[in-house]
Amino acid sequence: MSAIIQLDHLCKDYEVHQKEPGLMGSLRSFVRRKYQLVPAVKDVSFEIEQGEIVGFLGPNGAGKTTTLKVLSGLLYPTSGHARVLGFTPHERKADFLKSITMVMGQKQQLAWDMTPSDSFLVNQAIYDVSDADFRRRLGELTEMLELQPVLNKPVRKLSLGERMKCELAGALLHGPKILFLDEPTIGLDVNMQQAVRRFVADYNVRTGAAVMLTSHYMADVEALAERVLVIDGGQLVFDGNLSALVAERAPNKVLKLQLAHPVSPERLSVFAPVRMMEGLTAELLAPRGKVAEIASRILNDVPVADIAIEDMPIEEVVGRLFQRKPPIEAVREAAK
Amino acid sequence: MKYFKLIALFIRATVQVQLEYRSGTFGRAFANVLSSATTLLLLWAMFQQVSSIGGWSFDQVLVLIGIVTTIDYVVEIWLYPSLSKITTYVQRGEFDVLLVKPVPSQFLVTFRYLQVLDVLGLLVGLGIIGTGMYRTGSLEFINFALLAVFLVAGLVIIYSLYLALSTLAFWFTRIEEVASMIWLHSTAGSFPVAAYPPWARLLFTFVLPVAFVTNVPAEAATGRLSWEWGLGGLAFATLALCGATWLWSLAIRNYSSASS
Repeated sequence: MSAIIQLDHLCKDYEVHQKEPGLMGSLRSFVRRKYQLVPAVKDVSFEIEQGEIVGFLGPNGAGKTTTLKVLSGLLYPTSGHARVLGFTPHERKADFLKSITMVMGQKQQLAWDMTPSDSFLVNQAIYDVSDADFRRRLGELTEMLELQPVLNKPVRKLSLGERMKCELAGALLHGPKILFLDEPTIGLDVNMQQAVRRFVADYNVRTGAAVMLTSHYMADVEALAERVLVIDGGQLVFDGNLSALVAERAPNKVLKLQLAHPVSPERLSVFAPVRMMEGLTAELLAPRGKVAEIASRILNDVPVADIAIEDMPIEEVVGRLFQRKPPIEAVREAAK
Repeated sequence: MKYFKLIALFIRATVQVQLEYRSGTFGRAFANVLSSATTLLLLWAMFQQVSSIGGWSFDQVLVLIGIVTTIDYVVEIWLYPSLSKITTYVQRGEFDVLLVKPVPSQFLVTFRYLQVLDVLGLLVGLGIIGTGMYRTGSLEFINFALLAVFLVAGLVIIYSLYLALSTLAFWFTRIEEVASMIWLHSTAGSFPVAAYPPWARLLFTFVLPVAFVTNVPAEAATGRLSWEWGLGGLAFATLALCGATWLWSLAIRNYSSASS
């Protein structure tokens, strides 16, 4: 399979207006503005193939949204190249824009005072979707997202979750080949987050569309993406398999103990470092290779009611990644 | 074809919203009729004292007022609702949503809100023009044709001016106050430009072109348009439209290279 998204040494700088503090500072900057160049993305390269779902992780301000905006044609690169489906995104050719979609969790496309049905009709005309395709896709999306009860209510009367489902439907009516999803589950309750996740996974299987997803919720990425890109400070710090990321970055497993009787933390720390202790619940960090051995020693020596061995939560793994920034090559090697 | 279909859908959508807020619609229509009536009354009172203003008779000024009223309504039902949203899009960062659509963004911001339910007010304006034309004895096909051409040219000028002013939002963010200049045609433009002192005449012809927006169509409707003014009006409209479109594309390019 060939790459449908190619990003080659992308750099993107922003010009940020510098204001000095205080009234005089405001006056001075009103008369003569000073600008500073702030690099948002530094030398990022990757390729994505058809049908892939790729999670894009990073702290706030890491450059995730900027990268998505360059790929969707909203921003010009400062240097480097982007190719998406054979197009140069920032030329914003109609055929390119008809092949992609961008869903931004914090910005809505549906008109506030219109019903979703009416907004969908406008999208049909904007994207030149034939009546037959429109009916078929709307039928599918209505079924997958359970939209029937909300299609004819004004958007302003919908709940946040209902609105996001309609946003997704509206964004997919033209059958895009690539989905850029920027925080699609932000602000949604857990059930609705799951519904959106299930939908994205189903859609990917049904249509073979590639999905690039940013999210603050690790569960989104865990559920959907095998491959993750981690970006921090504008640089790509990891590109690879999610489980490889965990294996590489989390040398320890978590031993969760449910104790039968109270035990002091000191007694447990003989076996492995204690990560958390609360009443009869304790968590120990055991090196991957020794976890079975440590577990059996604990079971022999300590009154344990229940024991579980788990991976480190991905949040923690990624959090650690952000604290150290190894060169991308080293991490790629490690991931293989 | 696609664009006409889109305009029809935009009208449908806007009408649906208008119907939800009926009282606002009727309130506005009432306020508009009242304002036209006040202007007419004022005009009538003035002509009790003088026989002409800047060489224009009462009936000729009546046509002018009709044109101002008509343009007012077009601004109110179309240009203001659509173009005033530009600053909102920019301030809220919602512009991205428009830019990823495979339709020119200028088309989307221009035609998105067409409040055709207020079209009744337009009839008031056209009625006043018709009355003035009847009283000046200029109800001829050629005058109607020229009126249509120069009314459209006047609207193109207003549209371009408003688009250009709103486009400044990309650089200055808050420009609602500047963009309110759009209503100048209904104050300065309600009088024959010939009645102003020479410096104001220049100002109202070339800088704030109310002469081309209101005076020229009124002269066309009453069969008094000179070819110099006619050509000037068409040239001004063409230049204004090209200039505003250029500024828009510059703003979009700038937005794409600078915004975050």
